[in-house]
Amino acid sequence: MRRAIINFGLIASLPIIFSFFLFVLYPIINSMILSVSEPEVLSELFSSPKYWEAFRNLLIFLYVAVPIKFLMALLISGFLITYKNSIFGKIIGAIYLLPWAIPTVASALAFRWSLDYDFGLFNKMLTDLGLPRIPFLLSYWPAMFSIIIFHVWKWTPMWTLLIYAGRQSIPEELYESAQIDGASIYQRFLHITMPLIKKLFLICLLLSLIWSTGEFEAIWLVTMAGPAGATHTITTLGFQQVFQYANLIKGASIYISVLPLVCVMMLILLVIFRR
Amino acid sequence: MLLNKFLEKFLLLIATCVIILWTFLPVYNMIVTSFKTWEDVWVASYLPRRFTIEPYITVVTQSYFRVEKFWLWLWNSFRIAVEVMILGVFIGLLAGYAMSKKSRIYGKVKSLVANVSLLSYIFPVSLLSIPIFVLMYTYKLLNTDWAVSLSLAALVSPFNAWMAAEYFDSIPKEVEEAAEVDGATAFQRFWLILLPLTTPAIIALSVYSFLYSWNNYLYPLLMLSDEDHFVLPIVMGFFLSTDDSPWNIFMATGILYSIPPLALYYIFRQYMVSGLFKGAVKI
Repeated sequence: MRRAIINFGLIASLPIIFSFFLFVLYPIINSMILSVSEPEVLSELFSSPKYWEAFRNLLIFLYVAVPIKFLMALLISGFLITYKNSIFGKIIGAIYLLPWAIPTVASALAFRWSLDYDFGLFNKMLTDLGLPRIPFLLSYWPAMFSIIIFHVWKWTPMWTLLIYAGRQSIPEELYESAQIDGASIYQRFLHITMPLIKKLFLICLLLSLIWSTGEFEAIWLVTMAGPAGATHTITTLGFQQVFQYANLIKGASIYISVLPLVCVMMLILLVIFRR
Repeated sequence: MLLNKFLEKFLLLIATCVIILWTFLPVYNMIVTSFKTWEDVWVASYLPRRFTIEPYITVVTQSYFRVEKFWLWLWNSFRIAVEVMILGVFIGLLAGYAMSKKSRIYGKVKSLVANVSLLSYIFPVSLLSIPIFVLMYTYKLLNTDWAVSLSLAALVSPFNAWMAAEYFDSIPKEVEEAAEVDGATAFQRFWLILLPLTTPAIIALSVYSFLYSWNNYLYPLLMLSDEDHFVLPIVMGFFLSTDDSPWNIFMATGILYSIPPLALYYIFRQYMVSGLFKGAVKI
């Protein structure tokens, strides 16, 4: 009987180990070998301004989009916690995850059409408010801004949910006694909420940084890396090499080149997670 | 005092409106455009001037060349999503069992399963797309369901494993012990006792895996190149590379494609949210 127990547990662990080696580890190593096999591709890559431009775009995207996302997640989760019993909180609670459940392609279509210079809803609203039109998709900074807005719209809900869950496990008495002691909202947030959700918050933040490094749809679908390829990031640049120019080695090299960055972030995440 | 209370309610109302506006504005534009006629698409307005369901009829009857195989592509999306769901939940449940306190395997194997799941969960999925593409190319699986469903199942199962492990851990061990005394084997206990108790988790994971595949764009785009194998997201992506396009028809397609995931999400919201909640609270 003891033997049977051991056997079934082992059998149960096989599929995921198998799929990890086949679909995660092996492909990565394979691509590494592929990109090292032709070193001139890599050296050509590192000397091309296009690559560094994409890298710069990636950094701008990461360091603007991720903080905005988490600021909004903190605000909306705070709203949900404070007003969870009122009608306002219930309405927001029912709808805030909507962007997350809608297929990315569909919402990207909606954004692209809303951002249109001549016929888009956003520019229509700006003109109605007496403001000048913004060429959202037609010049560099507005296009970066559009990418960031779409990414924030799409992914804030998920982080809101996770941070909301963390905040819900904080006992309410803590806030009540702090309120009696005369602590302001800001003080309560800084000295009660933040220390108690610090670990969760850091893990979410790092996870979001890692995943946003691989953001593809926001760029490929909303701006199509335009205008004139100015808003490419590493992911879309590598994808384009494979998809449009059938250059497998170059595409793989571009992806592999950000692996060190991703691995460092993953390592920090694992250290925090294990603590 | 009364004024303060009034002011608070007022600010609250404003905040609620801002969040609703932020969430709904693009969706709202999508809905409005989908009910416009072809000429009205080129006039920005908050409501359709002439309300029409023509765009939907065009899509459903496949009478415009960019949606000429709408039902086939929708069926492809559905079939692949079901394949991912079955495979992903199967792998996830087994791995979750192996990771949980319920399985009695060597600690090293257990932590290997846990680490492997964690690593593949936190790795950015899009950065794996080209490496997996090379793999599928090598094994001549491109342009088949398998290329998409195997890779997506492999990518969704680590999350499923963590969630399933949480659920298995939350089942009291006395439940299993009674069966053990009666001589049930580990497999029998898993199959007859633990699995029926994890039904809520299985529902949550199934819905999650289904949506994961249904909403995915990158993997099908990369792996499928033959028109008859396309899924709808690929075709919707192609809409974007055309000028002078019938946006009302495109929006109608987008809405039709968004209805199943939204319906699933709202039906099973309780299960899904509580599953995600558990993971977050544990950290």
